[in-house]
Amino acid sequence: MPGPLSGLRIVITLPPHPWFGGVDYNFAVEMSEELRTLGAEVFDLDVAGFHSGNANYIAGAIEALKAFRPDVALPLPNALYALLCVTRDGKNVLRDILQIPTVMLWDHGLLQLPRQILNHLPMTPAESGGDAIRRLRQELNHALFFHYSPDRGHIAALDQLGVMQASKVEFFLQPAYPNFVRYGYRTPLSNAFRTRVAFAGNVYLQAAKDLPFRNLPLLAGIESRVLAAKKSRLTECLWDLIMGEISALDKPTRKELRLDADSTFFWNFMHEEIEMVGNTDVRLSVLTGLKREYEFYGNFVEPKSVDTLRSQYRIQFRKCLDYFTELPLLFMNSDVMVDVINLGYNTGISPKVMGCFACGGLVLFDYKDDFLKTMGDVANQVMYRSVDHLNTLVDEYLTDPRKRRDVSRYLQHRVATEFSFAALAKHVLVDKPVWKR
Amino acid sequence: MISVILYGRNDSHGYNLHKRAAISLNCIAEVLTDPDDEILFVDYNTPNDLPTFIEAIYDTLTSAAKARLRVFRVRPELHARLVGHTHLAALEPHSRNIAIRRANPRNRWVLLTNTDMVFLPRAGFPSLSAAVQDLADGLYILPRYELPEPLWEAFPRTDPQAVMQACEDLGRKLHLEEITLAFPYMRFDQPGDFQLVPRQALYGIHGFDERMIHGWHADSNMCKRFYLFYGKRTESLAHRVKGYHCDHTRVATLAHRLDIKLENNLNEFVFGLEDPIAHHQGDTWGAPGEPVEELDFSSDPQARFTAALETALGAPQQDDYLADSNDLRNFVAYHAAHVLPHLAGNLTTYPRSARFAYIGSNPRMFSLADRCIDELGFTHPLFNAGVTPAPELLLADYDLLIFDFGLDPDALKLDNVARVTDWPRDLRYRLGDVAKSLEACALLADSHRAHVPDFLVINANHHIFRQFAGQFLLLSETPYATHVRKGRPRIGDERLYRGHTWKYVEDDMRSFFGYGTWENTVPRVTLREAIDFTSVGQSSRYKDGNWGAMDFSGTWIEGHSAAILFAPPERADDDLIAFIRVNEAFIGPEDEPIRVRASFEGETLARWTLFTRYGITVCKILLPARLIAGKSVCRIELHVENPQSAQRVADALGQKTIGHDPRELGVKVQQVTFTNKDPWRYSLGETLDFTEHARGIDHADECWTQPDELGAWTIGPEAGIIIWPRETTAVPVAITFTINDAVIDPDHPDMEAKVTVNGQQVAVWTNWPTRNTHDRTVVLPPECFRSLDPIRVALHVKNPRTSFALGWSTWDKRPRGIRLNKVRLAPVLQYHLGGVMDFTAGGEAVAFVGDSLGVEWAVPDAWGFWTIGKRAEILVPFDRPLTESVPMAVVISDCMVHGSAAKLPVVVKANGHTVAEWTLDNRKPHTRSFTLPAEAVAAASTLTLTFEVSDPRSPLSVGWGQDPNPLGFRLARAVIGKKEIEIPDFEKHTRYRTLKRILGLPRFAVHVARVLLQRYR
Repeated sequence: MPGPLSGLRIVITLPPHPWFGGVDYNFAVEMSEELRTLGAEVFDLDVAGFHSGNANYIAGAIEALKAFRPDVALPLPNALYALLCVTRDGKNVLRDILQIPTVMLWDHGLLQLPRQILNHLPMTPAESGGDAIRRLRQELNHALFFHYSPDRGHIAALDQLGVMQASKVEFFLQPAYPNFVRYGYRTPLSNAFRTRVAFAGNVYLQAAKDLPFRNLPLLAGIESRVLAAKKSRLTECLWDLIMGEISALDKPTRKELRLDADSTFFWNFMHEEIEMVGNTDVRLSVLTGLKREYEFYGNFVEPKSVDTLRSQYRIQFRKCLDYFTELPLLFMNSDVMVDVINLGYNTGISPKVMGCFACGGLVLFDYKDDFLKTMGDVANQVMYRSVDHLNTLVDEYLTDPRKRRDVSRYLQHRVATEFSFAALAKHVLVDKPVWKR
Repeated sequence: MISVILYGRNDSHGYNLHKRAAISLNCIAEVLTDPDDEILFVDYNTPNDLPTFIEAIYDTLTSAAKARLRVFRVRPELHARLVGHTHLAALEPHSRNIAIRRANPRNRWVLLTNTDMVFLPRAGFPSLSAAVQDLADGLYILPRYELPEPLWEAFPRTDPQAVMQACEDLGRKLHLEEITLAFPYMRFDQPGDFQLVPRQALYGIHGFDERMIHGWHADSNMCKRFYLFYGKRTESLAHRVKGYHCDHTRVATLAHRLDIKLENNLNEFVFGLEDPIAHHQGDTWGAPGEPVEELDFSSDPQARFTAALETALGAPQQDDYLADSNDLRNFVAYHAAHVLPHLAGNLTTYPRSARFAYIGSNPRMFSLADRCIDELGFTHPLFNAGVTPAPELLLADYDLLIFDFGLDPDALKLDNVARVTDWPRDLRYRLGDVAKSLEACALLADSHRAHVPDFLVINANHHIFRQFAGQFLLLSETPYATHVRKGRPRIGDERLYRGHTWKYVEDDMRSFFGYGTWENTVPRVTLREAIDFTSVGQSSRYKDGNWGAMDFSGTWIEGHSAAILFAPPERADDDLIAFIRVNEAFIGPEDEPIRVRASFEGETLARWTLFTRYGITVCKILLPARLIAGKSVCRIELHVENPQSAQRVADALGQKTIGHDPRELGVKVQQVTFTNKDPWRYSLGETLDFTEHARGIDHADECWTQPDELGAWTIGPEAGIIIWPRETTAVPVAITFTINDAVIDPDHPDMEAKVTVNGQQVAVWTNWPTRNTHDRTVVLPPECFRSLDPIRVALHVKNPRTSFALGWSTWDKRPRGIRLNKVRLAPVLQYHLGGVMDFTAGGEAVAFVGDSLGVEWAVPDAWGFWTIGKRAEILVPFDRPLTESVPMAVVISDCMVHGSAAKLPVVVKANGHTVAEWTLDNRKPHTRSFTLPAEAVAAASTLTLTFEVSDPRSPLSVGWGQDPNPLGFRLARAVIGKKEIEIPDFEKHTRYRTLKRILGLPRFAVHVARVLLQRYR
C-alpha cells in the first residue's frame, strides 16, 4: 500500500554531525527515514558542505537537486538549517536557486532564527549593530517560506515586534520524534536506567557565567529581577518578563543598552539570557526544590560542569545518555520524569516531552498553555504551576502506580497517533498543504 | 534390554541443573547392565553457539555413563521447522519421539525418564536391567520419592554408588518415602519420571502426541493411551525398583509459575482421550526423515579441538605475545596463531557438515584457520571468499561468515608502526572492502531471514572496527585478548539509524581503509576539476601514505608523508599546476608554523610554510612536463616537516583527554585541482586583483591570507607571487603594488619591507606614512620579460606583526605584513625627447624613481613628490640615446623654506656631472631650467638625475605638521629638450576641496541641528 507521502519529492537538510553533540544530526536522520517510510522520495542535503564552503559539494548538490526535481523542502530537524544552505555568493539554494516552497518547522525560532539571520553576536551593547528588524523581515517574509511554530507565544512576540505577521505562521504542537514512538511499541529492558524520579536535560553553568554583559549593572539588575519573578511565578515566560523590564526602562537607557529589537545586541542578549542563564537558574531552582531524591542525566553540552553540580547543588549526576538507545529506556523505566521546559519556549513544549510520552514515560513539566489548549484537561495531570505543586504531583504518581499507568498510557496513545512526526509530516505536507498555494 | 530416554537443553533450567543431571546420568548408568542398554539424550534446541548440555557436563560423567550415552542434537532450525509457534524452548513429545525412533532396536524396553532421577533396584534385583527382563508387556510406573535440595546438593556427583547408598540409607531415616497416588491410569503422581514400556508399543501408538506443544501432561497422555492400549491397565514396578527425584524448585521456572502457567488441554489429551493411537502422525512422529546429528565424543570437533590446534599451529610460541587494548596506531595487526584457538573455539558447536567462509586479507590467518578446520573434522574446507565476494552467495551457501579486520604483521617490514597509515594502501584498503562486504551481507540478511548465517569478526574488539561491526551486527563483547567476536546481523527493529556516531566511524573507515566506492586504481585527472578531499567527496583512490581522519571540511595529514596519486591527463605535454587547498594547519603550542616540503616524482619542487590554523590557504606546485611524460601514475609527496602532537596541544589548552592521543597532525587538505599554467600566465598591463572574488590570489604562494573584499595580507617574513609571461619585451618592466593596509599603528610606525624579483633585491620600503591605499612601483631587473621564464616577486617583511599584538583582534596570531589590493606590471615609461614627465600622483613618470620611492622620494600627491634626505635620484630611460647637449626644465611646486631658514641650496647632477646649483627661496610653484651637457648624456641610454639637498628640513621642525622626514623640494614636472615647461593648475585641486566644503555645509547644518536638538530635548 502506498504511504501517505507517496509521490512527494522532498529535500531535507542534514546538519553537520559534530554540532550540538550530534543530536540535531540524529534527529534529522531519523526524521528523513520516517519520511521515506511514509512513501516520500527524499534528498538529503548536507549542511556541512555549505558550512565549510565546499564549492565542489555545493555545485554538485545543486546539480543533483535540479535533477531530483523536488516538490518541497523540509529543513530538518528544524527551519534553522534552511538558512544555512547558502552559496558563497549568498544565494539560498532552496529559496533562490531551486525556488521551491520550503516548510519551515521552527524549534524555538524566536531566539534561534534572528541569531542565524543577523549573524552577529555582540556581547556588549557597544558592539551592537542595527537594522535588525528589516533584515529579519526580509529573510523570513519570503513567499516561498511557509512557517510553522510550536509556540504561540513566539508567533505573538514576532508579530508585536513587527518582524512577521502572526497570520503568516501556523501553530503546531512539537511532535514526538520517531525513535521514541518506535520504542513505545517495544518492551524495555526492565532494569535499564530504572529510577524513581529523574531529570534529563542540560544546564549551562559555565556558559552562563562567562557572558560578558552580565557585568553591566543595569543588565545584571534586569536579570536578577526577571529570574526572581520567574522562579516565584513558574507559569510566566521569561521572554515576557524581560520584555516587561525593558519597557519599564526610560528611552535613553533603553537606547544606551541597545535593548530595542532593531539592535543585534537585543537578540543576542535575549537568547543568552533565556537559553543560558534562564535555563540554568530556573532548572536548578526547581530541581533543588524537589523533596524526593532524583537522578540527573544528560548535560552533554557542558560535561565539565558535572563536578559543580555535584559539589554545589548536591545533584546526583548519573551520565549522558545516548539518544537512540538509552534515553527512551530512562523514560520508560522511570516512575516520574521531572522537567522544566526549555525556557526558550514561551507557551509551547519541547519534543523531549512528547518523546517521553510517546515511549510510555510520564513527565511532569511546568505549565505551558499550548499543551493545555491542544491536549485538553489531561494536560493538567502532568503540568505543575509551582515547585510545591510539582512535589505534590510527584508524590501522587509515586504512590499511585495505577494513576501513573493510566495517564501515561492515555498520553502515549494520543502522542503516538496524533502528535508523532509522521502525523505532523502528513498534516503539513499532504492534509493541509499550505505550501501548494 | 533398555533404552533410557532423556532430553534437555543447555539452558540452566531450574537451579543447579548440571549437578542433578550428572548425579542422575551416572546413577542410571550404574543400574544398566545389559550390553545393549543405552542412554539416549536428546539435546533439544540448544542455541547453535553453545555446546550440547551433555558436552557441558561431560567431565563430570562416569566412564559407565559415557559408555552408554548417545546424544542427539536437535538444532533450533529443526525445532522451528517441526514445531512452529510455542512458548517453550524444549518440547518433550518431539524430543522423546526423536530418541524412540533412533533407539537400539534390539532393546525390548524403553524407559522414559528425566535427568533428575536416581533408581535403586530393590533387593533381589542387581540392576534395573535385571529387574525388567522378565516383565510382561505393559506400561510400568514408579512412585517418586522427593530428595530435598540440600540433600542431593551434598551428593558427590561423580560417585554414583555413594549417591545410591545415601538414598538407600537416608530414604527411611529422613522419612522421605511417600507414595503419592493418582488416577488409576497413572497409578502415581508425576508418572513422567518413570514410564517403562515396550519399544514396540511406542511404535504401535505412534509415540508421544506431537500436538502437545504448550507444556505439561505429556506423561499423563502417555499413561492414558497405554492404559487404553493395554486393556485399561497400568502397572507398578515399585516392588522391584525405587525412584528418587532431585527436587529443584528453589527457583521457580516458567513452567512452575502458576499465575502465568500455560498447559496442554487436559480434556483433549487426557480426560476425554479414547483412542491410544496418534493416527495423525503415523508417518511423521519422531522426525524419521530428518538427519539428526548424533554426537561422536571421540572424534567430533569438540573432541579434536586441542589436537587440531596443535597440528595447525605447529611449533609452540617462543615468547609472550604483546597486544595493546588501547592501540590506536597499529590496530590492524594481530597474532594469527594466538587468535586461532579463539576462532576455533567458536566452531566446535557446528555440525561437521557446516560450511565456513573467510572474508579477509590475512593469508596467514586463513591458512591456519583452513588447516584447523580440516583437522577439526569438518567435511567442507574453509572457503576463501577474498574481500569482494557476492553477498547472495555467502548468505545462501554458508553457515558462518568470518570477517577478518586484520592484516598479517609479516606483510609489513617495519620495526615500528607509528600509525595505521604506515601500512601499504593496497593492504589497508582491502579492509575497507571487508567492511563493505560485511555491511552488504548484514543488510541482505534483513531481507533473507529464512537462512541467516552466523557472523564472526576477527580484530573488531576495539576502536573503529568495533564500532563499525556494531552498527550492523549484534555481537558479544569478548575480551580483547580473544580478538574474536561472534554474533548475527541486526535485522528489523534492531537495525540502527546512521546517526552521528556512525558518521564519525564511516568517515574514519573511508579515510584509513578506503571504505565506500573503492577500486584499486588511480584515477585520471581532468584539468580544472577539483578533487574533493572532504567526507562528501571520493578521494580514496588519490590518496596514499599518512592521510589521517577525514571530515566534512577535509582530510588531515597525520604523520610525516602523504601522497597524492593521479594519472595525468591524456595529452599532458605541458607543465601542470596542482592547487592544494588547505583549510587548517595544526599549529602547536609554540605557534610555530607548519612547514611542508612538496616533491613530485621524487624531486623537491616547493616548500610551504603555513601560519593559519583556521582559514583557507591554497598551496601551489608546478609539475614539470618532463616529470609527467610517459608516466601512467604520478605521485605528489607532501612531507610535513614538523607535525604537531595532538596530545601536546590538548595539554597546552588544558583539555582533558582519555588516554593518550597519539596523532601527529600537519595540515588538513580540502581539495586538489590540477590546471595547466594558464592561471599563472600574465600579459603586461593586466591588473591582478587580490580581492576575494578575483583571480590574483592564484598567483600567490601560501604565505597570504585568504582574500577578502579588500585584498590579501602577507603572512610571515616572505610572501611571493609567481608570474609566467605570455609575451616578451625588450623594454624594462615595472611592477606597481596597490597596498591598502600595513601592520603599523602609532606605537609601531616602523616597518621594513624588501622586494625581491627572482631572488634579486629591487626595493626596500621603510617609509610607511599611512595605512591608506597607495601605490608603490618598482622596476624589475632587466632580464625580466626578456624571455618567457617565470618571475617570482617576493615581499619580505622584516618584522611582521600579529593582529593580536596590535590589539586589532583577540585571537588572530598570524604574522601579517601588508595588505595587497592589486598588482600591475607594465613596461617602464621610456622617455621621448620633449615629452613632459609628470611626477604628481598617478603620473607615469613616478616610475622613474624606481625603488627610491618612499626612501628618497615621498609618496606623490597632486603637487608632485618631495625629495627626502640629502640625495634624491631619478633614472630616466631614453627611447633613443642623446647625441648632444640638450636643455632641461623642471616645475618645482614647493620647497622647505621658512623664516630663519629662508634659503635651500640644491645641486643638480646629470650622470654625475653637476649641471645646476640652485638656491630655492620661494614656495610658490615656479620653473627652473638648465643644460644637460653632451659629455654627461651623449650616447647614454639613461640619465641619472641627482638632486643633492645639503640642508633638508622636516615639516615638524618648521611647525608645518607632524611629518619628521627631512624634506627638500617638491618636484611636479620635468622636460628634456626644452627650456620652457608649463606650470600645471595646482589650484584646481584647492578649488575642488573648497567646493566640497561648500557642498558639505547643508549636511553640517543638519548635524548641528541634531546636536542642539539632543541637548535641549
